[in-house]
Amino acid sequence: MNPFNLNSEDVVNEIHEFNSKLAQGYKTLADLGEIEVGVSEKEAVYHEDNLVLYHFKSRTKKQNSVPLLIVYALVNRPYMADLQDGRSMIQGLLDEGVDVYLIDWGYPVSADKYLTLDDYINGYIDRCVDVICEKHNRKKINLLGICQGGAFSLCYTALHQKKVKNLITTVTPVDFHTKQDLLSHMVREIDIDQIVDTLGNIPGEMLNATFLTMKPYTLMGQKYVDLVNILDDKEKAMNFMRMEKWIFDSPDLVGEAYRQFIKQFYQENGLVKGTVRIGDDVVDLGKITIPILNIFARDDHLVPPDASKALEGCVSSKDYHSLEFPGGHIGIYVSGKAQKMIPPSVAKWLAERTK
Amino acid sequence: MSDKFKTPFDGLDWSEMQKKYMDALMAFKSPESTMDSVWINAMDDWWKSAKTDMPYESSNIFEKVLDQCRNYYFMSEQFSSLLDGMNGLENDKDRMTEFINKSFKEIESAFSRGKNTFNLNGFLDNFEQPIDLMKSAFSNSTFDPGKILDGVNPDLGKLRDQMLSIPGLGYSRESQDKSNRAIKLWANYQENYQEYQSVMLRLNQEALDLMRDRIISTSKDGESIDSMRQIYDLWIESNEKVYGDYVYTKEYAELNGRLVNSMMAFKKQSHEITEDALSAMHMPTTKSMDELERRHYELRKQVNEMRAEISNLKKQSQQKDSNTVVIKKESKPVIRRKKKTKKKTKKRVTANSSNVVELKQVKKKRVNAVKTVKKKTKQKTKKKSANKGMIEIKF
Repeated sequence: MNPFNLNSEDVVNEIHEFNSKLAQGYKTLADLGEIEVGVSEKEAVYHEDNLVLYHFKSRTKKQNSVPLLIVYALVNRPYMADLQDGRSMIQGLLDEGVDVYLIDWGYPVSADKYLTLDDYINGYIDRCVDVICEKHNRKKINLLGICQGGAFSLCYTALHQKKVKNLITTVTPVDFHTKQDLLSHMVREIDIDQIVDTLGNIPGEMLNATFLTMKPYTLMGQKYVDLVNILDDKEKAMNFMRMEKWIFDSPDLVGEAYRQFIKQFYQENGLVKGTVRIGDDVVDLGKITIPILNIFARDDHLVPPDASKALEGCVSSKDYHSLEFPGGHIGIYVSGKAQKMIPPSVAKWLAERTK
Repeated sequence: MSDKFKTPFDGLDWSEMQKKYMDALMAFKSPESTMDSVWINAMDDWWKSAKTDMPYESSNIFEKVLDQCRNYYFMSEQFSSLLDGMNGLENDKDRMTEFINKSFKEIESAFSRGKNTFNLNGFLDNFEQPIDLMKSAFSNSTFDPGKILDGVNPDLGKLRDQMLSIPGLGYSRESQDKSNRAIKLWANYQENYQEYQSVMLRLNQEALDLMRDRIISTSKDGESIDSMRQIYDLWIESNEKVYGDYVYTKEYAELNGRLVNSMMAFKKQSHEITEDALSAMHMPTTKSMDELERRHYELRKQVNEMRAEISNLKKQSQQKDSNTVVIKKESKPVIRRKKKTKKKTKKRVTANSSNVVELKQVKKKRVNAVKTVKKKTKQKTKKKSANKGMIEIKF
């Protein structure tokens, strides 16, 4: 039997149809205008160097009395958690009565290249926590970490547990040597010292290239052919462009922090082994006893589920819950499914622990 | 926006073009044919004129789309001839399989003639940068901007052997050694880059083999491929499968490590050469900037530490003050009791005048305490209202 149910004439017709869509797509893209991101109203409450701490405006009359600080990764920009109306984890949390703060790390410059993980965790994060505590006259706040920000939140909690009431980690790598961890596999043989000594800060484009080479044919090829099929819909095109803007909006990574993170976390798997050193302290996840909610994505190709699930075996928290999201690393924040699942679950879990 | 672009290749007669194209393709299947095609050329011509009407951000995306359209068109053309050749073979399984195998060999050969096997929006661009850097580094290192490496390509191996065989002599011996080392590192990087490229090419070929097997097994499973898009998706899936399996191997980790490490080693060496040239001209160098930035970082750190210390001291002193106020507040009833006794003592005032002095002192202390509390409350309110806005720390 012929495996093809088409002939060359069908191919030409199909290409013709494809070209018509491409023409429509051209018109749509040319008319799109400014691509706006970040939907929720917010106020900057603290500045330090490039860092800005934002406080989001409440959308409910009644709020959880303990504020929540979101610690974002140093990779890409935090507006991914607040991308657009109806596709925003932050908006969802505000609608559920959570009082939300967010750290925006900004765009590091050459003068920042000596900042270490100690400066980030015991410095910036700690000072942001202090600002929030003082503002709310509280001794503890809730912490939510995103990806690498989750790893930072874990380190922070292990070192400053008295300031954290509840901890939520989302798509957070803990065990960096699981079988499916391609990123870790890719950097295993790389001389990180040489990269940092040569480049200083690590260019954002270089990181992007690394992420794209994890699925090059899909992320650099098929995705754009798929785009032609949705370009006749302005709204869908705009959604695509927002994501595209976020993907390629990559700040450079601070050299020293990158060196310490890749070596200690990715190459040495120190978070699990208990060898990560932040400043003068060694991070012992076993010291964490506060309630933890660990959210991971089932189809995550950047942080495989097993890498996140490992957290349960590392901490001493008796109140430990995990939540599996049926989607990918980014979908957990922006997909329609996520809006229905993640913010309500987080808010409910926090409410139960803030009575 | 005007409606002048109804289709990307507006003005072309599609049926005519199709006929011409198919005729040309069947009559002239040159082994030299590359990814150039009627569709690709038409698209490129159209884009040249349309590009200027589009905002930068959208135009950037659209170029990525067009890059992939090239792949899509190329595949469509390759498969068109395969599909035509399938006519009449439906009932002869062996001949059909043989024909598919033969067609795939031709497709493989056409792919391998394309740039970097397949255009993936600069998949290897990052690794190509050192070649440009090599030229610029050496141009910067010499006062004669004659670009000593111009004309070097492609016979770099020969140049390397010649240059590296000359020992460093005289007062520029050190810089000669540095240049020799840079060339060695560059050659090492080139070898790794070529190895990487050839592995990628091998994977592309393996992906086509997998795609062919999947197409053949489609018919065995009683299923069929109904569109060009399905063929394209199958190609993507096959590539992703083959690539995905390979990148998890130790071989890949080592290859990737060698490529990145050799690229960085070369970059580092070329930076050093550039630094020497800048230094010779009394220009600021990265090294001196690094040192300044390091000192600046240390100062920032010290400022932060001092700020934290001051804040702690303030807190401690406030705590002490508030404890004093509490004690004084607690002592209130005692004072009142004394007040009550005051009336009684009034009668005995002459009997014990020292009691009166003590009472006056207590009263004065109390008034002062109230004043201090009022003052502190006022200060706190003032501070709180200032904190209500944004807290800013700047260097």
